[in-house]
Amino acid sequence: MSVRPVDAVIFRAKRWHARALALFAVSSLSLALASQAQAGMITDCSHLPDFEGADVTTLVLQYQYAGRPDAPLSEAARSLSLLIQLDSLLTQLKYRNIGVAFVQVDPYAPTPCSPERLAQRMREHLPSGRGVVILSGRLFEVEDRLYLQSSMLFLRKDVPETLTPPGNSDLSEGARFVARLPQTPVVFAPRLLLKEDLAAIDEQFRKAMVVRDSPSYDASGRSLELGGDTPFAYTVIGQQESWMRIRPFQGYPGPEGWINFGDETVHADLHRLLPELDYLDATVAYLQSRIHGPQSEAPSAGRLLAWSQAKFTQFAEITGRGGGSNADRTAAGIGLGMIGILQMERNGWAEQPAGANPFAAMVAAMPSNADARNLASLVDIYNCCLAEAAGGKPEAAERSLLDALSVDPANGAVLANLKSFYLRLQNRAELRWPALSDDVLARRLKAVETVQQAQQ
Amino acid sequence: MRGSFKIVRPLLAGSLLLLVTLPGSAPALAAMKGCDTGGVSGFKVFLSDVSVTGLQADPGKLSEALYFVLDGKLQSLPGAGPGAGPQIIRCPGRQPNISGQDYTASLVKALNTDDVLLDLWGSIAAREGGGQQQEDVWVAYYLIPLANYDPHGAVKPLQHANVSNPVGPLLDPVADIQAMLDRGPGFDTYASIVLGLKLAKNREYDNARAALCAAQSRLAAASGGAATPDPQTAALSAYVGDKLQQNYDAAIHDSHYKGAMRQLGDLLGKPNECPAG
Repeated sequence: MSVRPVDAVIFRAKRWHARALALFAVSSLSLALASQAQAGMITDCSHLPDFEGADVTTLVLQYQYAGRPDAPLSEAARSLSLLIQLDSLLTQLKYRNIGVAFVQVDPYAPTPCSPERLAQRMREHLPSGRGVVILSGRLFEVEDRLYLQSSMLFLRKDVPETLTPPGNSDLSEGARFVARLPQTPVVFAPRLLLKEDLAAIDEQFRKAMVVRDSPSYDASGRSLELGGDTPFAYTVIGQQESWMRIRPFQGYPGPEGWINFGDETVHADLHRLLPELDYLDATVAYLQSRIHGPQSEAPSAGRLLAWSQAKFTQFAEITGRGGGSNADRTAAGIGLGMIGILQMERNGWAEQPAGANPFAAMVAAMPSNADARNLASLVDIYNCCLAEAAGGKPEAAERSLLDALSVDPANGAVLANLKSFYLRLQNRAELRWPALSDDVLARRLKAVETVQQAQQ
Repeated sequence: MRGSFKIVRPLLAGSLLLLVTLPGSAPALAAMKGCDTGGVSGFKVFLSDVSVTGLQADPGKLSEALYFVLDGKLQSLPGAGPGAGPQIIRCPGRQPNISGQDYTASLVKALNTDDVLLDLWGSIAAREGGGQQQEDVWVAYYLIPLANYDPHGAVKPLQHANVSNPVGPLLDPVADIQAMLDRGPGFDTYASIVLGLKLAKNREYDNARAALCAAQSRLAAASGGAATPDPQTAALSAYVGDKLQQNYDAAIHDSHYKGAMRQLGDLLGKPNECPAG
């Protein structure tokens, strides 16, 4: 129960800082803790945030009407976008080193602001290894109903989302093993929100965004003004469990005091209607863990894995009710892949239970995806042919690689692993099974190399 | 990364250019009232209008709902390849007949040449039922490559489904359309199949197999692992198996193809089957 005093230096948006703040059309919240950057702000597609120190930056791109990007948004649609940003900010504060920004879209801009364009610009802005998640979506509105369909794109600058087994770097170049997550974007199924539900959730958030005199709901407090034309920015100056003490940033208006960011009930209704917000939360945990590796301390890699697993599971449970959709099943499959990668990194390859493959569920969720099968193959390859106490069957590893190639015969990552696998068997004759003679192995290796050459 | 889908509003100049440079497709485009690809390359999906019969209704809202659902489904269509996803082209004023009689052989051929994968439309019609007036909402789509390559096959190129609602304000158009498009083997499966057919004919054998494998896995999911799937799913599964086999045969007989199906052959498993999950 200690209050941690914190430096007041925060939100270090660099060259465009003043400009971005000047652009605030609606409220913006910027927060920081010690050397960690935690910020929420509103910007546009031309002036992207540069949260120095943030491990992961989440950009919520303004949702637009499907097929009518220039149509003005209704109040409900605008409110929804703001709620998503606030929710992202509050749920991600537990990760410490994060930035959250809402990106407005100018429908008359000569170059449309797309997730792909944002990703490209963030690749140019971000320090190497840092992550970005871009949430965007399309809307359709009829009477008292608002439909939306979200999609999510995520990346780390200069670092592909891949998995490699231990000892891989000891192998010669061209004989290593690597598998990647299926390529994003992740597209979710359409959701329905009744406008009255949205208004109730908006009200919940407004009640939660109360700055109190002490870290207790019993303490008196004043509401933060959300929406409207008054910009605001805050510094985090202390933390007590799930309460944060915040102070207005450099002359910005607003009350100083305590705000609770850990109250799950505030988010529950919105997340039930938009389970992709759980997915977003889980993806940020995944990226944080991958950035800091198994030695991550604040939060620990174990907590990040637990958070990520819990949120992906929640997403799968909510979207799987009543059978679910193809889009959500694929999204859940990619989530299972992220959990699998964290498990392998956190628990260690050699410590996996015999016969268990963390990517088996991913393959079951998306059987026609070669990258999912390639990830599962990697575990089989390690077990049979790379681990010191190899116990798996090399035939099974070959079969899983060939199955991956069968569903996507041009997949370069699978072909590369198949070649590495055959090279491994060439060098380690004791791993071969009886039918795999020198000649047969040489022919298979040659066949893979021919396919690779044809692709160049 | 798949490209985004856009509404195409072709310029007149673009339309004229297309008519001049592609004489074979000119009659079809002329017959397709309101549908103009405007020189857009790549795979396309036509979205025709919603027709209203016998009641007062705003077809525009249902059209928008159709667009919303269709756009979302195409964004998650696997196998199209990065940046190669189909584009939606709206066809204002066009309302195909629910019987499919508009799709003459010459029109189908021209649309297929123009890389149109399917044409989707809707209708709302009044009906008396149970003493009160009902509205029947239909969604239909015509699978162009399937009609072109297999006009007399076991799988019909015209697919449609309907729901009936009491006459009144649209209750939940997106859910209705989703439910209709997901019924039976489902729109996603058919879209993967026609994509696979086109890719195979374009001699992109590897991508064709990927698209057909996606269709096969969706069919397996649709049948829920039942030992005897329903007749429609069973027929479609057999059709996809045939197309996988034909794609494989074409690949290994094409001297330009040097890919995995030729080099690794039987190691990849049966040509007409994709590995299960």
